Amino acid sequence: MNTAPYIHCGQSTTLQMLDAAIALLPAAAGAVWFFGLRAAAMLLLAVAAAAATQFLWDRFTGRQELRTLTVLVTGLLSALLLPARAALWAAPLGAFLAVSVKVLTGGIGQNWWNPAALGRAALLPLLCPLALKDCQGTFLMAYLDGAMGEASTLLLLVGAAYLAMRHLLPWAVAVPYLCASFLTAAVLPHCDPLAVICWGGTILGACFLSADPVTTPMGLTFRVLYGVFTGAVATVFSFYGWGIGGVVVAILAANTAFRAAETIAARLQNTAELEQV
Amino acid sequence: MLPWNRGVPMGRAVTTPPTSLPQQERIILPLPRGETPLVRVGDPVSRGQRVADGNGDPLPLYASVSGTVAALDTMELAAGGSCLALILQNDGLDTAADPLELPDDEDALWDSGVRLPGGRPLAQAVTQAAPGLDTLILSAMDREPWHCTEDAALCLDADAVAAGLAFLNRLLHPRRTLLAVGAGQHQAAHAAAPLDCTVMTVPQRYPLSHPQLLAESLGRLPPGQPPQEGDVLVLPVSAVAAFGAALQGTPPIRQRVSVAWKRGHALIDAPMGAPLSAILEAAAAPDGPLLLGGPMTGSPLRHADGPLVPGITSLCVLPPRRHRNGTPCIRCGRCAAVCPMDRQPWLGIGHCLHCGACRYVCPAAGYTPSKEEVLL
Repeated sequence: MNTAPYIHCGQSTTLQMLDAAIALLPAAAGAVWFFGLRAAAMLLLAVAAAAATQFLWDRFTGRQELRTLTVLVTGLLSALLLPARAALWAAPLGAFLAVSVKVLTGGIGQNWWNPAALGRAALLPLLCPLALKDCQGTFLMAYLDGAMGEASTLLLLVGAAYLAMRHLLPWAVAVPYLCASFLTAAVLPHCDPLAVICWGGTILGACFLSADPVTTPMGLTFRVLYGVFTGAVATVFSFYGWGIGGVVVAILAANTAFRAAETIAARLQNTAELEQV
Repeated sequence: MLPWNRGVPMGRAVTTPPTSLPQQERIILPLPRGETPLVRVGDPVSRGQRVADGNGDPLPLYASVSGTVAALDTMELAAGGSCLALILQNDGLDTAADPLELPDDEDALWDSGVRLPGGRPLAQAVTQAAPGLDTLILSAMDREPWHCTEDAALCLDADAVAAGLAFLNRLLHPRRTLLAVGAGQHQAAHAAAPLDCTVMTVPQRYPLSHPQLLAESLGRLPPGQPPQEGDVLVLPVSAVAAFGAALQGTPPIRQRVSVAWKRGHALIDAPMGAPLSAILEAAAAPDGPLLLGGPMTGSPLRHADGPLVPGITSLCVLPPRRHRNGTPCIRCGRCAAVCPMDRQPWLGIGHCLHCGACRYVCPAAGYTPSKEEVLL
């Protein structure tokens, strides 16, 4: 039995995930260009592992989440967050962990943590990237010492532009993220704010990892705060500690804090409204 | 480029003059609310003659063609149940009855027989607004996307609107009289210029044309309060035009019906009691599931054999089925962004208008029904 409304805008979760995957393709192509067949193998293995994991979990839970194609994005990102020198089993392992934790913490729409970020964070003890302060050179064109996705910031920006064109880029998060990143870098000693802005990890954090609708808060206030928090924390951690790992840890911390804040705020508003009634 | 971020597409306007329905042989006037017929089988009737009377809500009914009363039978109602119906046989002569003469007070609203789109008597809406009304708002914006009845009423019947408006101003003495026009309705705004009211432009964004929202934004009604409990009355221009025409002597015997589908629309000028199938045919509408009203809040119509009654001003033909699987909510927040009440639709509470805008933009939901599903 159907109810009104009888027209629909035509957007669907699957189409949105496809768009997000397409936005990652320039960076993936860049990774293959810079790092060769090894990068291609890691990308394919990660996507395959994510799909297989989702398929098996779907059989177990009885849900049908594979058709939403979130595994494409999770797989591509899991591989792109790793350095090219990583062992070949690292990318599928990260993807497997990402999808499993996502399913176990509530499945699509309910998971608290960005799956790709979680997969990368789990592998941090094994594959710790260089701190940014120990890296040299401009990050814009070909930065080969970090994760594969960071290699070309320009390609990441092409992907971000595609996301913006499809209205999937949360400006309320990305702009505060970049501003907070810049300002934090300006304040930190021995840190070049321009270099931090041009670093691929910043764009990954601001435009790709924060574009995940499930783990990013809704509402303008929370989004701006999320962007500021993540930008500042990511800059500190990545510059002094763990490169892309810093971004990933900042994202996870923000996911936790802001999901908790959203839940509490929603409960408070519910209570207030029920009292009004 | 998918348009979901821009919300529900609004703003169709009258581009071509309405098509008149060809002469219908049989006219069916249902009496679903127990109206008393004033004629018997075999009596001759003229166009505009009062043929059924009522007290209060059973409003009087007027013959829309001249001819003879062919039968007084029971008919099946689309919603279930049955009622009496007057069936007129058209003699093609189009003999007109004497012009309608309405009293100068509130009873004119009841005697005119005018109903708002949806069926509610205009008199009921007006009398519920007590005298000492703060704001009277006439809405020239169609409540739903795809339709343009209100726009047509203002552009084509401006003098009838003026007559009806003058009467309402005299009766209600509102402090302010406003006319809400959509941002793109230039022709309507132009037609509204000589009217005795202030023209306010409203963005063409669904569901800002909803009476509750017009009352809140233009009439300064407190959010969440129903208009009838406040000092604001919102009336569609088409009903005021019909009432104005009744004041000028013509009862509501013809109705402009907006037939709309995804790629087009048509305005059909039809007599009351004409079969809806004839209206759809005259509109050259494609085949598909039918809706009474608009595509956002309309109700399914099982078949188009029923007659045109006061209250039916728009019909929709839906596109064929495109089944898409729903997914769980992905917390994208588009529903909250588009919700006019600033509510959090995914929590399911608040002053919901049931406008459907949240379901329209949601990527996790949504598929359009097949004809079979609509009939269930």
